[in-house]
Amino acid sequence: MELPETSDEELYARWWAAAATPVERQASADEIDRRHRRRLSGFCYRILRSADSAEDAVNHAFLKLFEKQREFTRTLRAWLWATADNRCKFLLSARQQHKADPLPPELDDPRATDPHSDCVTNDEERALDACLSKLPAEHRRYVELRAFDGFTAEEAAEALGLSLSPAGHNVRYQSILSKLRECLEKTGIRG
Amino acid sequence: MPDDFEPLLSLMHQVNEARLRELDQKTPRCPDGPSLAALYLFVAENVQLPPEQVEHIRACPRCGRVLDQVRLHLEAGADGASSDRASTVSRAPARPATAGWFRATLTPAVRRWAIAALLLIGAGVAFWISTPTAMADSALARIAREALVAMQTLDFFNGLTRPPDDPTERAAAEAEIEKLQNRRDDLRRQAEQSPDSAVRARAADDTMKAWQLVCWGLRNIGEFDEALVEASAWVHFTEDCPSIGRQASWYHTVLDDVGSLHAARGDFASARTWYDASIQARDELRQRAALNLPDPVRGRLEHRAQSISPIYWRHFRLAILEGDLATASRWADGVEAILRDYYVGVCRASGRNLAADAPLMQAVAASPQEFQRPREDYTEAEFTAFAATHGGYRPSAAIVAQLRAYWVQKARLLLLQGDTASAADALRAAQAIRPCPLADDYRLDFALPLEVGRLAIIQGHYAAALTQLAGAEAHWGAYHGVDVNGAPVDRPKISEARRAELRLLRGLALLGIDDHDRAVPPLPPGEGRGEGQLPLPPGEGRSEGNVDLAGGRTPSTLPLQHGDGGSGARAATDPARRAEALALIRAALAIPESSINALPPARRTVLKRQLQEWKNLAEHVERNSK
Repeated sequence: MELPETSDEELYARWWAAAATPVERQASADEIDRRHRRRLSGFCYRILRSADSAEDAVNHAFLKLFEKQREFTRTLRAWLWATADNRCKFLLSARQQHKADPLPPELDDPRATDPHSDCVTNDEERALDACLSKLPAEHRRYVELRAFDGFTAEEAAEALGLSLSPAGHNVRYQSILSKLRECLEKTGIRG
Repeated sequence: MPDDFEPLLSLMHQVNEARLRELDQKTPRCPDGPSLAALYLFVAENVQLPPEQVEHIRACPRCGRVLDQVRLHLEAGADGASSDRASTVSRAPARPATAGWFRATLTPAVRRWAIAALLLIGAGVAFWISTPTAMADSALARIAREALVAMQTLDFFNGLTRPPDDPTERAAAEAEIEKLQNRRDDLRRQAEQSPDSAVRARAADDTMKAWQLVCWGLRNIGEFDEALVEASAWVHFTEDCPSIGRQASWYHTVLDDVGSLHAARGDFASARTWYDASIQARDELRQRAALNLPDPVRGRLEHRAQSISPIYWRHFRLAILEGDLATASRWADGVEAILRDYYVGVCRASGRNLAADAPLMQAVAASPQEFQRPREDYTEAEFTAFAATHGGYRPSAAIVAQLRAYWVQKARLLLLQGDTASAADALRAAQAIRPCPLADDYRLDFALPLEVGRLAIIQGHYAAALTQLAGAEAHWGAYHGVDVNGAPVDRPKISEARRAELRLLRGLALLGIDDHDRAVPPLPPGEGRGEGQLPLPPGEGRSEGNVDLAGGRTPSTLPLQHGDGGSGARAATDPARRAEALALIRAALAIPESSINALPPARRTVLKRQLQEWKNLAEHVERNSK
C-alpha cells in the first residue's frame, strides 16, 4: 500500500485510531517500518558493528514504538532513533561485559570477513571512517545523523538530547564538516 | 548549507548507501511484507489474527527474531501476559491469549469506551467520598496513602530534583553546570594526557566527580535528556579510562545514574536494564574482593548489605511507580535477606550460633553491641581490631542506616498494600534502631516521622500525626555533619515535593481533628522508647514501642515517641483550624507547573489525577467553611 503523502505521525495516529481495522492498522505499521527500518539499521550498525545486534536494536525500538501510545517531542523518527540509540548503548555495554568470550566473526566489521568485498579496498571509505572516528563522539554522531540518516537539525538535536538554537545547529554542523573535510584532505581525499 | 560541502556530503552518501546495501544482504527478510506489522499488532494489542497470517509470521525469520526478543524480555519478568502472547504465535496458531478477559474479549474501541466509563464511575465515587459534610476517615486515609506515590512520581530522585521556576535561579544553576563542564574537560585532558601516572589517576577520579556533578546539575534543573547524553558519555569515559574501568566502584555509580535518568524520563524498561547492569558490576566488585583484588579507586570494599541495598531500593521505587507491589515486595525481601545474611554472619563470627533463616531483628539483637549501635567515628586501628576478632566483620554505621531505611521502606510498601498493623510494626522496628546521621543517605530524620505521621492519619490518630509531622518538619533543612576525618558531610534540604507532601498530611490531620479526633492517650513518662534504643532480646518482656523479636504482633495503635501532641484535644468544628488545614492543602497543591511538565506523559497524567483529588478536597473544605 502506497501512502506517500502521509506523515509518520499521522500513520502512527492511525495505528491507535479506535475505529481502525486490523488491516488498516497493519498497513500503517508496515509503512512506518518500511520507511525507517533500513536507515535505522544502518545507524545501529555504525554503533554496534554487528548486523545481528543492529537488527536486535532496531526490533527493540519498533516493539517499543508499537507496544503503547507514545508522545513525541518532535517527530516519530527522532524518537525511534533515540530509542534505538539507547538500546545500542546497552548492547555495547553488555558486549563489553563479555568481552573475554570469543566474539563471533560478525561482531567485528563484517566486511573484514569478506576478502572480495570492494568496500574493504575502498580508500575513501576507510579514510572517511578514520576521520569520523577522530571527531568527538557527540560530533561524530551528530554529523552521521544529518549526513547519513537525513535528519534535520532539530531532529538530530532531539535524538541526541541537545538544546541549541537553529543558528547554533548550522554553525555546529558546518564546523564539524569543515574538520572532517580538513582531515580527509590530509589523507589525499577530496571531500 | 554552502555548496562547498557538497562533495563531502556526496561522498558520505555513497559510502552510507554501499553499507546499507551490504547490510540488506545480511539481515533477515520476511517472505510477506506485512508479517512484521501483524506481529506488532498481535504482541502489542493481542488482536487475533487469521491463521494464514500466523503462518506467515512463523515463517518469517525477522518475526522469529522479534518473538525471541519479546520472550527474552519477558523471561526477565517484565510482562507475563505478553509472554503468553509471544508463545501463542510461536507454538500454535493464534488464539485468545491469557492476558485477561478484558483485553482478550473486547475490541480496542469497546475497551476504550469501557475504560472511560470506569474512569467516570471512579471519579464519581471519589467525589462522593470527598464531599460528605463531615470528612470521612477513609477519604483522609486514602489521600494520605496515595500521597506517598504521588510525591514519588514527582520526585523520583528521592527529594533532589526541583526544576527552578525563578529564571535567575535557573540561570545560576546553568552557569554552575557550565563551569563544572569546563572543569571536567580540563581534568579529563589531564587524565588522558599527563605523563605522570599518579597525576593521571588522580585527575581521572576528579574527572568522575566533576562529571557526576554535571549530570546531577542537569538532572536537578529537570534537563533529563541532556543529563542522559552527558551520562552516556560518562559511561564510555569510565569504561575506557585505564585507572578506573569496570573494576572500580565508580562504575556502578555511573550505571545507577544512567538508570535513574531513564526512570525519570519514564523509560522504566531501560532503567531496569541499567540497574541490573549495576547489580552485576557490584557483584563483580565483590568477586574481585574475594580474590584479593582491591577496588582500584576506593581500596576497601563494602559488604553487600551496604553496596547492593541502594540499587535494590531503586528497583523497588520503579515497581512502586508502576503499581507492581508484588515486585516491589520481592526487592524489599532481597534487602532483608542481605541484611539477615550480614547479621547472621556477624553472630556466627562472634561465636553466637543462629539459624541462617533467623528473623532479621532477632539476628540484629543477637549480634554484639558494636554492630547494633556502631559509633560513627571508629579509627582504622579500631576497625582492624574488630575485623581480627569478628571473622573479618567490622561494625558499620552505613549498614545500620540501611537497616533502618529497610524498615521505613517496608512500612511504605505495607501501607500501600493496606496492611496497617504490619506497617506499624515495621515503623516501630525503625524507631528502635539507632540513627546514624553521617551514613544516612535516605534522610530518615525526616522520612521516619513523616511515615509515622502518615500511619497515624490512616489509623485516625490525628493529634499524634500532627506531633510526628512537626518532628519531620524540624528536619527538612539541609544536613551538615563532619566525618571522623574532618571531611564535611552535606545533604541538601528536603525537596519541595516532599515538603508539599508533609503540608498535605498536616492539612489532613487538622481536618481529622476538626471532625472527630481519636487520638491515643500519651504514653506514661518512661514507658516510650526513644530513638537509639535497642530492640529487646526475645523473652525479655515488651512495652509499647518495642519490637516484638519473637515475631508476635504488636497492638496496631501507634507508639508515640514525642507524646501525643498535647494540643490535640478533641475539638468541635473550629473555623481557625479548618482555615489552617485549607491553607496547608492549598500550599501542597502549589507545585510548580514546570515540575509537573518535566514528568513523562504517563506519570504526569497519574499525578494530575491525584492532584485533582486534593483540589476537590480543598474545595469541599472551603465550601463547608463558609
